[in-house]
Amino acid sequence: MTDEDILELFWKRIERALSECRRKYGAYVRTAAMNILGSREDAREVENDVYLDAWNTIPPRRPLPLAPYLGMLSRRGAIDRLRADARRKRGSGQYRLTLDELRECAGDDGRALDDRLALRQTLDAFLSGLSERDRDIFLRRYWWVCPIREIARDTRQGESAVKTALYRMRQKLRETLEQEGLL
Amino acid sequence: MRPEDISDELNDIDPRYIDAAAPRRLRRRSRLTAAVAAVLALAVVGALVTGGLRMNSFAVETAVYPKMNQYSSTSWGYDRYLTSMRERRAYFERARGLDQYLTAAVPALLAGEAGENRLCSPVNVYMALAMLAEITEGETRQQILDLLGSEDAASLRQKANDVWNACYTDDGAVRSIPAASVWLRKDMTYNRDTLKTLADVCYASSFRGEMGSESYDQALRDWIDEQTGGLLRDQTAKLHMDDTTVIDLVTTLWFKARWAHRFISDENTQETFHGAAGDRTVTFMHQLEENGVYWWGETFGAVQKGFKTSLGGSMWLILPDEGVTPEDLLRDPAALGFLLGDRDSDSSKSLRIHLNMPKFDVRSEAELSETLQALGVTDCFDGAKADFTPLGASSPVWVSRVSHGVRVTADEEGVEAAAFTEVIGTGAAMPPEDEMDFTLDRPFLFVLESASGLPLFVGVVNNVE
Repeated sequence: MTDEDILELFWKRIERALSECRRKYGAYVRTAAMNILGSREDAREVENDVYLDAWNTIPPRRPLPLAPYLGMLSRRGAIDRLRADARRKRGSGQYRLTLDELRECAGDDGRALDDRLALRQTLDAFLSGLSERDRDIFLRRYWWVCPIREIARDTRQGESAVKTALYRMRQKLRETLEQEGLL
Repeated sequence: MRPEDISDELNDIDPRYIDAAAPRRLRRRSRLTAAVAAVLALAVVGALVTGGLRMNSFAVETAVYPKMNQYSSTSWGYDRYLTSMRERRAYFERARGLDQYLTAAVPALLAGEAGENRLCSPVNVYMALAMLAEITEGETRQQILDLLGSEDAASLRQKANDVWNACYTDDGAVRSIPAASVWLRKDMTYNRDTLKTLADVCYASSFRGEMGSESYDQALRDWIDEQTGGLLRDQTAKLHMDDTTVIDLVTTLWFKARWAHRFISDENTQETFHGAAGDRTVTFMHQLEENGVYWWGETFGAVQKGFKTSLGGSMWLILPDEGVTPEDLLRDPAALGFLLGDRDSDSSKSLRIHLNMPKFDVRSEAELSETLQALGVTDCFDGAKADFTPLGASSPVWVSRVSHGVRVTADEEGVEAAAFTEVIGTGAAMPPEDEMDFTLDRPFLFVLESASGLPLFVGVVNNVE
């Protein structure tokens, strides 16, 4: 079934849209959650919530392609769950490691940023300015929360080369954030 | 700035980048998942509701509720659950068409003193009236049919059963249980076939005992407490059937569900709620809805917040514009239509919504006799006109009381209600580009809507304690 067909089911309020989403993108959605949560059971629950979110937002939305939209819902749901469970110290170590790494370019004054729109626009510009190879590495690490070893294997290079590339990109991101007055 | 800010904002980057960077292992996993999905098995878990010992000693007919597959987070369990929900979809479709009743009844059920919190369960009152129609005849029944928009008793019987089933959920994640009961005199005889029909069609239990006795009153309270998880205990403590009572109809609706996305209590703040009775500092919960959908009308805005399971229903929060009261919205046909499910997706927009919502625990108690008479249902309250022939009572019968107690609580985890809920946002203008605050810091309305789109509970929150 194509994404257009699945969207049509959503718009017609036919619940088969949910099982079709699961069939086609279940692994995609679970991976986005699993890498963050480190728990297969928690990832399953987030996955089910993703289909609810999709049900509640389509219509009015018509996201094409569907996969990244569902992945984005999954990542958001997993991070929300991780924060809610923070006191229970649950979640994968990988996600915390990525936050530690991002601290190099974000600083950490403990205060939430007010101008989130400006930050998103800056990130969009930053990512579009990267080479395709660097962007894939950056997003595998900080969007998909993949371990360094997996990124190295997927991109056919050594782990130290991946770490070096990520370090270089974090420095560049920090400079960009400073130039935009966000730091 | 915090590292979480960058991580959060990365979520909304260009979707093409996300797909291109997906781990290679995903493709292999997709095939494995499809293979597992092909060997699903079906099973049913029962949820039988029975009365306590004290109630059973008065029971004439006890309703038995349908079995329902239980929500599960495992893949095979979830698919089984979805299969079960698909089977129930027939009820969802057939339960539509209550517009005439809802449009007339909801404003009437929510009428009261200006500035008070007022709550009602339109669906639950519908079931009570359907039950009343079953035990009446002639003009007495016709008045009820007219209000409910049914042509005859048979079509109402079918519709009531569809509505009950469309609202009923007890799947382990969401509990939405409508309940009804008939309380009869010990010293009268009744047509047992009619009582059996009530149990079959409306899932109504019937009881017989000594009117005016404490034990019978207590049985009534116990029944309500059991059907509503004790949420209405304070309200039921005052219930009393005096020795002149001929028949007492009681309806309840218990709803309990967790938010799909919980609020985080550590982020709660103390803020001012500008209530109808004055300003009050209360606990506000906060959440950034990354994929929120904002709806708007001429004089209000609204957001929808979903519950845990995919088909568990949702809560609509409806915020009148500054200078507009909830009562104004109830008088506005367009706003009332929105409240009751007539929504145009052209007046909605996807954006990031900072939802700021007070924790609340609101309740109301209403005696609906006058309200129903204002809606045209008069004869059943008049001993000289009431026609209760199908009940088979040995002496004249009329309705002495229709009680309707409602309580709704909302906190970080979810909603529990023994009646109904909804929400709304801002005004006539288009919403901002990408992001907005939706702050319920003044009187608002809410609708707690079933998965089938029926308004289980509707409320006006004028004050928050």
